[in-house]
Amino acid sequence: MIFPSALCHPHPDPEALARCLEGLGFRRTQSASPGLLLENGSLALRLTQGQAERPLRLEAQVRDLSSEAQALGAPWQAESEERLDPHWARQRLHHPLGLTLTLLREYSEDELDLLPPLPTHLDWQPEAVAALQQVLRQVPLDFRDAARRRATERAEYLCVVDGGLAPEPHHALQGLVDVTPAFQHPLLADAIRALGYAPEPLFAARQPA
Amino acid sequence: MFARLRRLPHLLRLAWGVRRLRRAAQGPEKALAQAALARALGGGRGMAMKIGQVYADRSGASALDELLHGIEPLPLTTLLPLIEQALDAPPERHFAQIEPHGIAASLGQVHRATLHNGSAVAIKVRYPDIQAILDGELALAGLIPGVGPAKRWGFDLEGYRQSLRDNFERELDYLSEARRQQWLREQLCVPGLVIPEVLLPLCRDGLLVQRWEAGEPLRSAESWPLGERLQVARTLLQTLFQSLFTLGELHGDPHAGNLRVRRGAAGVETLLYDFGCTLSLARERRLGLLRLILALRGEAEPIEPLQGLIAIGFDVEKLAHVAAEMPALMRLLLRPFLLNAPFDPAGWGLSAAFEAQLGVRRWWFRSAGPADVVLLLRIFQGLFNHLERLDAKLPWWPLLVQAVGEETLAEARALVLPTLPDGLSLSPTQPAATRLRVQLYEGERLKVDLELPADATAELESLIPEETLAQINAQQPGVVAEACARAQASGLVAQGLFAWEEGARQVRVWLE
Repeated sequence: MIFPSALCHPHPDPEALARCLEGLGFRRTQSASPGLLLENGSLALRLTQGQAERPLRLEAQVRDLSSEAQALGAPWQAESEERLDPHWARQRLHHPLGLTLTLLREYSEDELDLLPPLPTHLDWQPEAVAALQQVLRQVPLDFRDAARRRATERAEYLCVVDGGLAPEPHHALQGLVDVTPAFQHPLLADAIRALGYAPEPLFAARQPA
Repeated sequence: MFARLRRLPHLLRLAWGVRRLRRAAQGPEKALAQAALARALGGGRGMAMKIGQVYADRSGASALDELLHGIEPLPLTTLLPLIEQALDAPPERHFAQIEPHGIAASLGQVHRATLHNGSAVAIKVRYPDIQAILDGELALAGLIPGVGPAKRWGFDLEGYRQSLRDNFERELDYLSEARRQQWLREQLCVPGLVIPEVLLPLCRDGLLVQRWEAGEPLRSAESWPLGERLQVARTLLQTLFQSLFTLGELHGDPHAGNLRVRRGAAGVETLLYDFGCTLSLARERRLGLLRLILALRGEAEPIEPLQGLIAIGFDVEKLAHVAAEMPALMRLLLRPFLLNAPFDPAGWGLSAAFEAQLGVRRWWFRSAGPADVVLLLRIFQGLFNHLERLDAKLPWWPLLVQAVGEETLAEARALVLPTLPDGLSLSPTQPAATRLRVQLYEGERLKVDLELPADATAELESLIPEETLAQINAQQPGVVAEACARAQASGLVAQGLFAWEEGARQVRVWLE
C-alpha cells in the first residue's frame, strides 16, 4: 500500500513561491532534494524547479471571506464573492507567481435562520420538536450537531422509560439539560424560561448522560 | 429406506440453494437467491418447510407468500377422518361448520370452523404422514459427518441432532402445544399482545382448537404510521424479554407467518400463533444472561464474563481459548441491551466486528454454546428481521425493565454464579465507561471541560474541530483514530485515550 505524502508542483522560481506560501501558514521542513518541501499540518507541497503547467490551486475554508481577502492584500488580486448555493460562498484570489487561492465560507444554520430536523426515531409531538430546536440555538455552533443528536437520543430514552413512544416537550428539554455541560446551564435555563417552561424541575431532575 | 431416498433429490436441491445463497453477493442477487431457496424449501412439508420459513423471513413478504402457498393444502375430506378419530366423535358433533379451504403449514393444516354456539375457531390438524417424513429427515440429519470443521472445533453434533429431535417431537404433540399456549396466554402480560385462547377440551394429540383471532399479515404494518409501527415493535420486544427472562419459556418460531397485527379500539394489537416450537430455559440460564447484562451495564456487581456464559450453558474449556476477548465480545453481542438510546441494527455490524475480534477462533465461541442456543439466536434473528421491516428503532433496556419487573432483576442480581476452574485467567466485567471527558487547559487555566456519553468515542474525530485535529495528527499521526479503535476493542472500559500539547495548550481525553 502506498500513502502519498505530498503534492508536487514544478515552478520556475520555487524559492519565491515558497516565500509566498509561508505567508499562508506553510513552513519549510528539513528535507532532502529535490526542491523545497513545505507543510502546514494538513497539506505538504514539494516545489521543484521547472515550467508550471498550470497555476497551483489551493483551497481554504474561512469564517469571513472579505476580511481574509483584505488581510492578504497586494499583490493578491481578488475576484468578487460568489454565492454557490444557500449554504456556501466562494471568493478566488490570484497571485502573480501563478497561485490561485479559493476561499470558501459555509453559512451556519443561525445565519440562514434554519432549524435543522432532529435525528428522531420515535413519533415526536410537534411541540416537543419545536421546543428542542429552539433551545438548541443556545448551544455554541461548534457543539450543536453533537448536542442535537445526544439530546434527541436522551429524550427518546426518557420517553420510553416513562412508558411512552411519543416524546413530549418535557422529555425533549430534560434530554437537553441532561447532556449539557454545567457551564452552559445558566444560558440554557434562560432559553427554557423564554419558551414558557419552568427550568428548575428539569435541572433538579438532571441525570448527566 | 425407500421413503428416505425419495426425499434425497429434494434435499440435494436445498443444498444447491444454500450454496447459491452463500456465493451470492449482497443486494438483488442475494435477495433472489434467498427467495429461490425459500421456494425450494417450501416444496415439501416437515423440516424443509421449517428452514424455509426462516429464509423467507429474511427475503421479505413475497418469498413468505410463495412459501406459504407453495404447498397444496390437503383436501378437507382427507382430514375429516383424522378429526373424527382424535375426538372419538363425528366432527359435526362439535363443529357447526368447517371451511373446506385450509392453510398448509409445516407439520399440519389449519381450517377455520364454527362451533354450535356461533364462535369462530381455528382447527389445526396434524398431517397424517408427517411423523414418517420427519423420522426420515432426522435419520438423514444423523448422516451429517462429524469430520472437518465440526470435528476440529469440537461441535456437539449429537447435541444438535438431539435438540432437533426434541423440538420436532414437542412440535408434533398438539396437546402439549395447546397446554403451553394456554400457559403463556395466562402468564405473559405484555401490552398489545394477543395469544388466542385454546379450547383445551377439544384438543388432542393431533388436533388443536383455538379461538379464531383475525389480523392482517405483519407486512401490512410496514406501511402504517410510525406510532403504530413502534407499538408493534414494542410488543414484540417485550414479549421476548418477558418470555426469556421471567418465564423461561419462549416462542421458538417467530417468523412472520406466525404473527398478525390489527388495529382496534384498544389500540394496535399483535397476535402470536403456533406454540409448537418453544424453547425452555432453566432459571440459572436465563438469570445468568440477565446477570451478565446487568454487570455490563454497571447495574450489578462486576462478574467475570465467563461465569455468566457458563451459567447460560457454555463449555468453559472451549471458552478458555477466547477468554481474553470475552469482555469486548460480550459488549458487542449484548450491545442492544447496553445502549441508552434507540438501537439501530444497521449500525451494529455484528458479523464483521465478531470476525474482526476473534478471527478464526470465533469457532471456539460458536462451538462452546449449548445446542439450544442456536434456537435462541434464531429467535433474536427473527426479531431483528421484523424490527428492520417495521423500520422501528427503540431503546431496549427500559422496555426490558418494564417487561421483566424489579423482582426478576433483583433475582438476577442475587444469582450465585458458577466458580471458574483454577488457572483460568480472570478479567472481571468492568462496567463500561459512561462518559467521554475532554479537558483543555491553557497554562493553568481550565478552558474547556466536556462530558459526552462514552458512545461518542466512536465519533471522536468528528467531534474535534478540523483544524485542531490536523494539528494533533501533524504532531502524532493517527493518534486519535488509534485511540478510538483501542477504546472500541476494549469494550469502552475506563481508560486514557490521548493527550496533546502545543505551547501553553494541553488537551486530555479519557473515558471514565
